[in-house]
Amino acid sequence: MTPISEAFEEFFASAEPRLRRALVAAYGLERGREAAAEALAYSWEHWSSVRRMQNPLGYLYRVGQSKTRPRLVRRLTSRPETVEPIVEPGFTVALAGLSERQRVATVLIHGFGWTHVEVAELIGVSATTVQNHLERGMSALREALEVREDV
Amino acid sequence: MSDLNTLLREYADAAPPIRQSEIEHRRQRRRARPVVYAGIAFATIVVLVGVVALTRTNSKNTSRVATRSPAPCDRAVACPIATGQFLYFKSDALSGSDEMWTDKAGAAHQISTLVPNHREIWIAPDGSGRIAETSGKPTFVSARDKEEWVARGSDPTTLNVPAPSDRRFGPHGLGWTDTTQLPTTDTEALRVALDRVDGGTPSPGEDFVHVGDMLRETNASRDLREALYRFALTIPGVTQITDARDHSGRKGIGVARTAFGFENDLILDPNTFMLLGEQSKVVGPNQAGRAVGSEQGWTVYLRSGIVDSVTAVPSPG
Repeated sequence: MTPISEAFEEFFASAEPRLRRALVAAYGLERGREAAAEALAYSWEHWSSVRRMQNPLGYLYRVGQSKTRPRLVRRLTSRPETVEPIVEPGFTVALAGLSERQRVATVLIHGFGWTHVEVAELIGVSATTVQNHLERGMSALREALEVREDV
Repeated sequence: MSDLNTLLREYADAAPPIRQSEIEHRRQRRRARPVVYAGIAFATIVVLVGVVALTRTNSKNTSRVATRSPAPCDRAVACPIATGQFLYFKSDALSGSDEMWTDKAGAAHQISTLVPNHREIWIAPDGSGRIAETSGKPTFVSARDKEEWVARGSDPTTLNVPAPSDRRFGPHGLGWTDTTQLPTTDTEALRVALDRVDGGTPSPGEDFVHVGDMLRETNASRDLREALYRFALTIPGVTQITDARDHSGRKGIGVARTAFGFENDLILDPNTFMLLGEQSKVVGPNQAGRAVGSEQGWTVYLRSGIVDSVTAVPSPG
């Protein structure tokens, strides 16, 4: 087995949780984790070019999207295909009702404290657009969960 | 808010971490298929070379037609964009930005700022393109946000100007919105199609957001833009602004929706229905604690057109 370089190990330790959470937010637990694993495998195979990228996480996010894309044929918007009763059932139903970008923005910013710019770089849109997705996502979640105090 | 944040965190962390050994297995598995991939790649190249050779003349003709159009986005049908061409938009904005932080007791806090922003985007139908942005100095939305900033232990004078960014994207790097299939004569059909294309939970608020999404930095035809405007007027709670002005003072017609104490306006050119600008302000009591009358952000769309590269800009007018 080829030894994994120290630089890659360091990259992996930092990128793995971020990529996994982002793609799980986008595609659900099973598909999101699978997409993240494929993207990370790609990063190892193409480490010499990935290590020189300015925005490797954004690139790998799109790699993960492309790896899971064949299952999205004929879907104009992507939603988790199944509601996974990992946490409160009402919450997962509400989350599944959001668009992919709304889920990514709400999960990463409110769940993990990412900045708008970090999410913007990840999904390739402007910070303003991220804010729009965030507001819409949070409004829909609050409405679905009837979290009136946060409106 | 902290409970919702916890649920969001728990959801995304429910998937087990990926181990390095796991990706090594995937890499080895993939190595067993290089001959197949090489064959597919070779065949693809052969086909592409053939297709390019056969269509080269045709592409050039298409390109010339699209480039010659003086105001392509004002056409009744969506502007034709040839391979290698990009939709271009330039805008100025004052954008809201929220930052979350958690104190030692685990309580979540939000700090909201407004950031001046200048943006240029080039986007092709394959999702490739470029976004160049520069920002000005942020300001706190309210005194409460400044207090939160200080409570976090940050110096108010360290609210720095975001660094300029200039990013280029390969295919699928940007989200291209295909507006060509949206109906322009049947309002209900348009509403249903917007739900399908743009996602979200169907509601008047979401319908209004869809209208903005389809007007903003898209290839929507004049017919579609007018249909979106007419559709907006049918959304419950949406009102017409007959003498609207965008932040730069341009006159237009507008649609406004008020919810939770905030009014959001979309302002369009009355002749072309191009989106001139959008703005948000506080018009009533709100749980965010924002002062009535305060500005929550605006955008003015200054120039748009079809160009032949990610370094070209359309001529004014």
